[in-house]
Amino acid sequence: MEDKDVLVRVEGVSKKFCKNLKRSLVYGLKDAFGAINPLAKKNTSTLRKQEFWAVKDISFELRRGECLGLIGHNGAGKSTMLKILNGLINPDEGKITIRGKVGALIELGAGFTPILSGRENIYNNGAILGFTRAEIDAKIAEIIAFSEIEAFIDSPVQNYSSGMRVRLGFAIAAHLEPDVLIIDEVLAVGDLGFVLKCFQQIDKLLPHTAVIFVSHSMPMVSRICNHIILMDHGVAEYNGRDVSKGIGLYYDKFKVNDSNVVLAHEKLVLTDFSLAQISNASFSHELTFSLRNEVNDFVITDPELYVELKDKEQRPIAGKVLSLDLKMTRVEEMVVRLSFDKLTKGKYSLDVLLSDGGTPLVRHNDAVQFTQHDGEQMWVPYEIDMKQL
Amino acid sequence: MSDSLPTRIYSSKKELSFWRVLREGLGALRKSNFLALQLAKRDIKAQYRQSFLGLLWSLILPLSTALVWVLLRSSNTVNLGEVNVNYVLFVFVGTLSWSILTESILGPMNMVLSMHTTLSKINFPKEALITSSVYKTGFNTLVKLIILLVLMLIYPVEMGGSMLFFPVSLFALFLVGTAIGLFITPLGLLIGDVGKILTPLMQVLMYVSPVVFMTPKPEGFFGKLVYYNPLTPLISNFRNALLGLPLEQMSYYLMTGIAAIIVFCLALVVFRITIPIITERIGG
Repeated sequence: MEDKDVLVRVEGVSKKFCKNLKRSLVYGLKDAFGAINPLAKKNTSTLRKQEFWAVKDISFELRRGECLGLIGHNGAGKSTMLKILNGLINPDEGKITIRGKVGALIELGAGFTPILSGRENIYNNGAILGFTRAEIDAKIAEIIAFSEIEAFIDSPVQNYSSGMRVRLGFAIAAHLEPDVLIIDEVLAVGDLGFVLKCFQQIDKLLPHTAVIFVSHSMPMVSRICNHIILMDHGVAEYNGRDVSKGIGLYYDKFKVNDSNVVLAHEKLVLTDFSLAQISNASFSHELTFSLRNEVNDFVITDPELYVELKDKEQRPIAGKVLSLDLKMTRVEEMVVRLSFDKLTKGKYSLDVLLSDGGTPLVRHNDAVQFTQHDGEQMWVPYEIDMKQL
Repeated sequence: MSDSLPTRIYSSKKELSFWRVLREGLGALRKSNFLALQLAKRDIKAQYRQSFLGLLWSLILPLSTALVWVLLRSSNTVNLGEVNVNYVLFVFVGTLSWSILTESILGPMNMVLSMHTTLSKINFPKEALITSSVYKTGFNTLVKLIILLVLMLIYPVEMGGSMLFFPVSLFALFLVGTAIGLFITPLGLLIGDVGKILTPLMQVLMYVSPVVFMTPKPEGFFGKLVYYNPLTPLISNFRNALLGLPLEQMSYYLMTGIAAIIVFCLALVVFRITIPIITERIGG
């Protein structure tokens, strides 16, 4: 049954790329001849030498008013997916059905001619984006006002700052009034005021548009998306409507076990950090690590352990100093239990410092990292103290 | 309401019908006219904005080329044979027709190359690049035709009935040039060598075409080579029409024209089918 409001339907789409340029061009020639030769056998589903799947078996549906967030590390296949959605390159497998006018906010102002004025570039860029002359004439005042560069609109674009170019580029593209809007990490350059203005514009478009949004900024993704695809090496690791779960899995990807030794001691080594969440108490963890005494005769008189909890922006959240009972054998395994009052969802790391009577001996930053999946929401509303005066 | 939305399907398994792709391609050529015009204007403006002489350059270059040939001939450095009109006009029109051909052949490929970063970011009708290249060549030709008009006032020519044929001969030049250009575009974009060889090849071809000399009789190796060169009637008849001289090799001329239409249609279909593959391989 055909759902009327489904604007984008993606069914098992895959795309392969070649790592080597020369070979890629040869494959391109073969593909080109294959494409125009009706008798050629179409064998697109196997990999040729030096090829890999940049996008593998992605499926989703998007209705009007919905926003899909495409997240993943650099090179996960997000931009390739957008190019396929935009019809710039053909999928090697699968099928995409798109209904309505497609607009793309991808590398804004990429097609500007530096030597021509901002006004002339509005006409050129508008024409490339699919406006007619009458449409541009009708919207040019609005576009210039939105970009906030009235004073320089007749100066050559080569004298614009990168922020001004993005402003102009966004202003043109945002007035296209598309049915399907593709946004690829474009708002990184503008200043804060303009980024907020852009989001207002996107909010205005959102109710009657299906949006596909690529970003590395998780707050932005959680703000506007209601469907998440987490991509890794072309594969959808998570594909669903639980936005915070998708974001949590994305944060998990950056859990690395290479801690940062910022203070080392020639005779004492801290190793084998691990952290386990205690199943029935969600804010309790057990931190296990080993203390290796390289010479067996090193004596610590007053050992103290300092543990500091940091959030993903490296802001300290909590800390505690604990006096240790050390036997100082050659290798000693220690377990400490950490309990937090509350943690919001997100990614955290622990710094560990061992000191002797106030003298720091060994310090590991990011000794362990973990992601809090459950927990309270980011912004917990509380009651305002309000009374009539 | 959403029933009326245009639906696009991108799929790996496309059933390609030659006639449907051709129809779509011709439709896109027509619909993308505003974009083509805008791109041509953009390139022409950008070309002249930073120069003080501006349009004078389009006057200096063809005139100096013509002057070189006039000097070479009058000083007997090269023997180019007799011609039936003033040699200044003869060689100016000859080089004009040759530059139309060269620009039409190289234009589509250069246009796609100059837009290759946009190609991989925005989905616009690529057919506009072809039309745009034609517009740019058209603009350059217009400037040169004005110079020619001035030259014709200085060196008057007799009016002839063949002058009525001028629009057709001009169209034929554009048609053949663009058909060849469009045909080599996909290949030239994927293989850099094709673009590199084209410029010297065009220079060699110029000497086996009646650009600076008259069409010889089909005698001897060189005479036959020039006479049966399909570009020959295009160039000679463009000049004959402009200067009011009798037309030549008409049936061969007609055949070249029909062949060019067929090549153009084929090339348009190939261009339309292969452009996603090209975008994938060269888009930055």
